Amino acid sequence: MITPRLRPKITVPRLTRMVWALLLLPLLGCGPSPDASPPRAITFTFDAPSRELIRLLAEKGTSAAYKDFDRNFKGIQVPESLLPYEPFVLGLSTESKIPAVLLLDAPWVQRYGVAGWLFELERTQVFDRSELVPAVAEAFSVSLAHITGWKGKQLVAVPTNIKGNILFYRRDILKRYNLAPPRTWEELRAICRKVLPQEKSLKYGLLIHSTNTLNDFYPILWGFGGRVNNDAGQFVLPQKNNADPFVAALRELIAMQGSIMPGPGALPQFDPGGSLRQAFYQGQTLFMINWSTRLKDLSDLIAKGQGQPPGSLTGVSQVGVVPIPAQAGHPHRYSNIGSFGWAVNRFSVTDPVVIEHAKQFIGVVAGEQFQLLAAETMGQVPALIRALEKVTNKEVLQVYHDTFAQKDMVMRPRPHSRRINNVLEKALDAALFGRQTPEAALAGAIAELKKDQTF
Amino acid sequence: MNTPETFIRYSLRNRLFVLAGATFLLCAVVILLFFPLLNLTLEGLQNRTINSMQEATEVEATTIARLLVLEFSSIKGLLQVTPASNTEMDQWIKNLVWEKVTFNEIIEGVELIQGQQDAQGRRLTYMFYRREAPELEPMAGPQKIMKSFQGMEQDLINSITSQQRVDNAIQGSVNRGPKEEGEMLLRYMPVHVLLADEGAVFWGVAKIGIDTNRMRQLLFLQSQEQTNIRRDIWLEIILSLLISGVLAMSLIYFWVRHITEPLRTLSVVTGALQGAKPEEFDLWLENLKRVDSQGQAEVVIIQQVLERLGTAVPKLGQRLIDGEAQACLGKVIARGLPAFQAWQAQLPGLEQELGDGGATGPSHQTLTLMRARLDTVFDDLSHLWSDPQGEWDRIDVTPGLQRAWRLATLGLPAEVTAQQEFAALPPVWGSAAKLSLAVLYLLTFAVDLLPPAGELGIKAEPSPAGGVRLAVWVSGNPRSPLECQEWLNPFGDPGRIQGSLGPPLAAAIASQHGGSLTVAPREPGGAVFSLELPPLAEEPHEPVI
Repeated sequence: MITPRLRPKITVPRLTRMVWALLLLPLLGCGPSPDASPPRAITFTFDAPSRELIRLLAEKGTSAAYKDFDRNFKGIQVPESLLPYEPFVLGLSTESKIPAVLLLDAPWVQRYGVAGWLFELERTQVFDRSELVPAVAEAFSVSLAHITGWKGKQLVAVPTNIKGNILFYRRDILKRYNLAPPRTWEELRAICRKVLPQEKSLKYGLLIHSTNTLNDFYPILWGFGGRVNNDAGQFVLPQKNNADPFVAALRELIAMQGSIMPGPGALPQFDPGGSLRQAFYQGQTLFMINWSTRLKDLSDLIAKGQGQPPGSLTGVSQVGVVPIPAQAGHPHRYSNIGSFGWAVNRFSVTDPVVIEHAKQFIGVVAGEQFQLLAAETMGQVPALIRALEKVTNKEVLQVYHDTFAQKDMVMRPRPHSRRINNVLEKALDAALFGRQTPEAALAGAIAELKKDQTF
Repeated sequence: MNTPETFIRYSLRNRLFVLAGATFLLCAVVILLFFPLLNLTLEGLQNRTINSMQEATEVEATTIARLLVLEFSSIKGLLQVTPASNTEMDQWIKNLVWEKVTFNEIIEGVELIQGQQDAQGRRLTYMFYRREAPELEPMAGPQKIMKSFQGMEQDLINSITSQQRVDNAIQGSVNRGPKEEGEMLLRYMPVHVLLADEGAVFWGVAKIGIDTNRMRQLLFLQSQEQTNIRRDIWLEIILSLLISGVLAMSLIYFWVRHITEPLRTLSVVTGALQGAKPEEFDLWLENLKRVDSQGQAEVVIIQQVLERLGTAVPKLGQRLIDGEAQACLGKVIARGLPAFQAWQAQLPGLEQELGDGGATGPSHQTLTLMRARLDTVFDDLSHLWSDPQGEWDRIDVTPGLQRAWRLATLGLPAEVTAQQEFAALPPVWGSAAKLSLAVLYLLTFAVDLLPPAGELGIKAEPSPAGGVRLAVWVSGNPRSPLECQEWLNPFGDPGRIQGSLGPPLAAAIASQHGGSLTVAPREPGGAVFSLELPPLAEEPHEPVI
């Protein structure tokens, strides 16, 4: 009898499986060891308005990101007394990894960005620049060519809103005289010359801040074509093409003093905080240069409005906003940007996890829900285009469309150096209060600043 | 014939030994291949450790430098010092620098370098270094000097003063290059003085030297440890391989011996058949039955088949002998037929002559001779035909030889020359019929080889040992020794089994009688068969089969 052959179709696969099982057996438990270190929450600079908005969004419960905010992100409470000393300059200049994400005023974005302390956001896919209103995105971009070699400006911070100084005007009065809001200083003066004699309730044609006047002066200077610092942060005011516009702009203001603006003697009455918008609310002035958020304040004053003197505003519709005028023939009008933006500390980016966390954080604190809530409750103009499209607050939309969305509007940060600002503020005061001519005031300021070789 | 002992001819046991050894060696080689991998792993570990330690040291250096810079940031007096000043503030700064370096072992030195430089490119610098290295002269104390910086260091300080940013690439280059302050890790950081009304005001650069001896010592220790680990692992693995090799080969040797023993025994027993004599066949069969198969199915099957064959072979042999004897006698009778027919043809004439008269005379003699011849033939045939088994006894082989010679030469052509020579032979112990048959086998085979006018002969004589020596020769074609040998071994090449089994059967009968049969070529042609029978023993014995 012939012995039957083995059946390989059944036997071989079974053997193969056994061999594979034996070969794979030693591999059991040989995979990468689990990461023992817990994921670290990134640190950020704590600020009260953001905190309040996050709390409100967490209460609404629309997104888990806001509910779990404190678990995922650790805020650093900066002592109030330390803020004037600019502690983060010290931290970032010494390559500290903390904080990972920090909220910076627009001038400081420029300062930190040029120094190479901030992480580029667009190329690294942390944030898409095209989601922002172009004018504000430009203000939060710097040239990093000297560090990264990339040409052009790179986005280094994500603004949560659009804030800048603008020109407020009495829309009802200009409408009554069938006048358009001014685009140049000549037009503003002409309107004032026409309206003021006939409107006895108006004490002034234009009010600007009497303290921190420099904030209001910078857009005027830029509208005359002058700069204090160039894009690289270098001090260029002494150059003739900047010094002359500085003098011209100052002369323009001085020329309006007494007739359109308060004279040196009347200026101190506007020193107290809020006095400017109070005067506008009470109908004392036709124009006012102030921060864009003051429309919300005016709206609040109007809403409270009982017991106010005759001539006071009764409705927000009486208020119009436009960009601050420029010199005739200048193509752009400017706003001194007052927005804050979230930036990522370049030294904290030690691995991709940090980038991912930073991206999540920015998505939360500068996201659509966040900016919409800020627009509806605080009157802040969203910096995100898709948030702007969903805003229902009329004042917010009015500010955006009539000022920041204007084609000739340029938002520019003031110089970050407080020494420069302090010296120029003094020069401005000396000229506006008549203690020095504009030329002398400027020469004195330049001489003082030149002593400091860091400029 | 000796053949080279190639692997294919090794026994199963040896092959298993060799294959198991080769398998173990292969495994050992594979294990040894892990050494380069182990070295790579250790190298990688060392590199990662070095990198981690360097990173940790650099982070530590940065942290220490940052702490110092944070402290310097509160010294508002820095903004008042000038190259020419010699105020309490200058002394206070120098003292502070000395304290930081002297009381912190990890800080090798500190320089505070003002951002502004004079017309010669020198910068106001406060500095103090511990300078512990034997080749360095210690500093007398903290100094305030105007210092010029060169090369990469100058570039680094310029970039910090212009951008307040440390270019880490240049800092790395400075650290990799030689340092006049001694071997240390240098950290350069911008120094800002914090003022409430102006914020962080840039003043200059802090250059801080961090001790790296600790890291170097750790790296050295780690390198030594790795060398030790590598050596220990080498030794442990080699030792493990040696022990496992000895253990494995011992166990394999034991197992292989145990497993192959039945097959080896069976092979030895089976192989013994090749050299066994016919009388040893029963013994061989008995040995075959005694092989212990240890329950191995393959061995059991082979053993059973061999036993059956062993039992059948003697019977077949006997049948073969019987058949060959009959065939041989048949051939003899067939060859004698012409002679018988001739005699039969003569008979009528002889009978007529005898009928006509005379019971005597030539015809009567011829008839008598024919009768005698026929009687002889029938007698010879009856002797060889009647008792193939034969009775064993003390016999004289001469009659049997002569009978065989007569039968074999019966009917040979007249041209053939037949020579016979029978000397007086001593008696031998055996079967007369079988020995006669054996000689008949040889003669019949020789007649088949005989050419038409050939020569056939037989010679019987006593052997020098006292036995009987018989030679049968035949002329013919020249034969080779190999060809002659093949006549005795008809089954040597199963493909060429010859027609006649006479010679091997004659050899078997000779062997049965304790004798032997050899065949050799004959000069100038033909062959010679030599059959020797041993002398008669003093004590008669029975045949072995």
